[in-house]
Amino acid sequence: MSRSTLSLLVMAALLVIAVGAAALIASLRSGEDELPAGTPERTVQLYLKAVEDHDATEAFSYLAPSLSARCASFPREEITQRGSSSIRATLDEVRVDGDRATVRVGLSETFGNAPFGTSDPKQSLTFELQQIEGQWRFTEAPWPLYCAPKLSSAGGLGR
Amino acid sequence: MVVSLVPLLVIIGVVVMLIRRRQPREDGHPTSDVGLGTIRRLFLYGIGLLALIFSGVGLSLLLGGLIDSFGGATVISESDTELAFALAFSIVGLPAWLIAALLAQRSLASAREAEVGSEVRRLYLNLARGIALMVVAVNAITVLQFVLRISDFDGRAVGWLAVWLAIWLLHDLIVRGEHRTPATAWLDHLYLGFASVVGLLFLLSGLGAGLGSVLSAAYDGLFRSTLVHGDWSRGLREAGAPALVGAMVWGVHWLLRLRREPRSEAIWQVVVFLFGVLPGVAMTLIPAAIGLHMLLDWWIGNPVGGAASHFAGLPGALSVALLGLGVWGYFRSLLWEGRAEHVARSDAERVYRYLVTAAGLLVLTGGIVAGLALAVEAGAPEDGGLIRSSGWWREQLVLTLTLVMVGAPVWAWFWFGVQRITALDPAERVALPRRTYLFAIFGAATVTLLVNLTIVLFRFFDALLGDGLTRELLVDVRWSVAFVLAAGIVAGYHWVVLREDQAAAPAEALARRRRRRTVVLVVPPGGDGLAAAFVDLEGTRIRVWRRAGVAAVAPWSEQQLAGLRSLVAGSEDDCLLLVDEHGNAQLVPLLAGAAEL
Repeated sequence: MSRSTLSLLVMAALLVIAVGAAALIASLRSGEDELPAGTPERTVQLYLKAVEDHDATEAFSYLAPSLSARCASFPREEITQRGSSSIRATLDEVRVDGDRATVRVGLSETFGNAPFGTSDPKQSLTFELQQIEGQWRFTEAPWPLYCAPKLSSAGGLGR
Repeated sequence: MVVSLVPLLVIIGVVVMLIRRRQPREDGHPTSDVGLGTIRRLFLYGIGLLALIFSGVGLSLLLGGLIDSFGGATVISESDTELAFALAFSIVGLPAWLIAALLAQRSLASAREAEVGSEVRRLYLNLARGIALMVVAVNAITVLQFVLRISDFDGRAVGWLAVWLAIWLLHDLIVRGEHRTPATAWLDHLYLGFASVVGLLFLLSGLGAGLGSVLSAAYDGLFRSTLVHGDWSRGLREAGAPALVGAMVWGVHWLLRLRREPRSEAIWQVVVFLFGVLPGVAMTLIPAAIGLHMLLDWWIGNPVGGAASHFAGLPGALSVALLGLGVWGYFRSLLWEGRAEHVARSDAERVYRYLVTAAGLLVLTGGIVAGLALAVEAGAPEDGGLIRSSGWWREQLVLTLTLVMVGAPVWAWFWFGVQRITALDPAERVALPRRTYLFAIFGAATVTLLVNLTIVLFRFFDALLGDGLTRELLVDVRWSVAFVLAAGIVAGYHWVVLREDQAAAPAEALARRRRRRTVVLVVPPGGDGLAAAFVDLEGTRIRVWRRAGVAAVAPWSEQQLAGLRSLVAGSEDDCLLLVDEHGNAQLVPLLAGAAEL
């Protein structure tokens, strides 16, 4: 057997071993972490699971009432028409300051259909939440929703 | 996706053409008007290719639509446009292609040697194979994605795959059934090179995506808190389709065919060095640099978040690096195997060495510039007008260290490697890739030096004549100062190297580089193999004339060919006639201009 053929076989074997080992670890550790109820990260987790399930109604239930009203008239295709994509999200950081919280998440999404099955590289998302009546709710439109800011009565932009 | 690979084909073609222009041409046919004739051949095969594409598209749509109607999704609204399209293309394309094929076959029957040796016919066959291969590969991926449960069944993809696979098989059988002539071999090699590169690209894309996906999932499972785990195996299954298709294409075209061609072939060298070793080096070093940057940033910089999120990019970088090492290792071992053949160093190898050297030098210089700018800024004393946040220097220090630690070893390894080669073989000093590299680096460094020196002097004189020199000025011009210093060092060093080369370049090598010798071989039927002895003889152009009315002869032995090669190489004449007299060779020097060049 030639040296180059041997090196090819060795590389293939190493690749199989690497993929096998990583797949084993991934399958054994593939469960989602059960985050404590009543925490901002738990709200983010429930929201993202609703997005994964294409359930816009469930996802909207995690928006603050004012935000939900603002987003009501906007299309929900960003959640309901996500095709066959798959989301994986990991918790990076949580900062709580009184009744406000910032949750930073690493998220990657894989799509189907195209010949090369494109995947988004991991993106870092930041979610802003506020505790309202004991529940953490989003105060800014969370990914992947987009809702235009509300115009104030004077014609400027209001919060 | 298909369109995006056209530039790749163009690049390969341009590289080969440039190399071929510096190699002797082997023309098996003194005139090209035997058989169909060049103009008619161009017309016939041009129309034939167009008709082939039309009929392929039409039949694919017809078959795909038929399969989809049985196995596809429920149609709630039908469109006849596609059917009309398919019928039009098929009805126009198929008869036109059949007519062209019949005319070509008729010419093949009456003047087989001329047609088989025609570059136009071979170009058609290889273009047909190349186009068919791309269509087959893309649609095979789609079909495989259904098999791997990534996407829904798409009958159209099956139709396209079936029709274009048949087209590819047909043309591949024709090519393999006809003997290759010296005039057409390069076209076959060009196709094999293109297919090998495309196959490797698909294979590495799939493997990289798959390995990266599963390593990321494992990393997240081990070190990070998972909110939504998704389907981690999906990435692996998605990557399986292009990996499998790429493996088949690469296996058939590289492992079974092109790899077994002579190593002295230009395409072989281009594929190995520029599309094998070079990407392997890049795929290893770039992720290594990314990993090093992450490490230094964690240690010295201002990392945000915990270690797990900081190093989240490591699995992706590791997957690319592992593949890069594999590719690099495979092609290096392939080259190592061929050392005994003593193949002359090719321009493709030189281009690869100087490209990596240039890349290393650019990275190293970038690091030096960043370091010098940091030093200038750090050296500027604090004053009331200059506000800096604490740790302002960390990010730039990390960048400097990363660039220097990656660029320095790469540049040193490859640069001193080519210097060792040059010391052993003085003819390397006059090689085009080396001279291009030296002049390009020297030129770029000089321009950078002049431009930034102008900026520095302008700011200096502007301040001197205006508000006066301030410490803030030094900080403002720190990058230009850094560029001046770094570019000055680079330009100065390469100027010295250029002068050394000019002083040491032997006159003989220069004369050899400029020399163009023509050798006309007069051979009996079946004697084309004689041309192979002179293929890579530098500066030699070969023409082969076949004698009529004589019997075919047995081929020359390797020893005899080597002897003839030495005889021609040692001749001082620029124009030679070598007559194969049934096993005896007669070498006749000619006056320049007496032979058609």
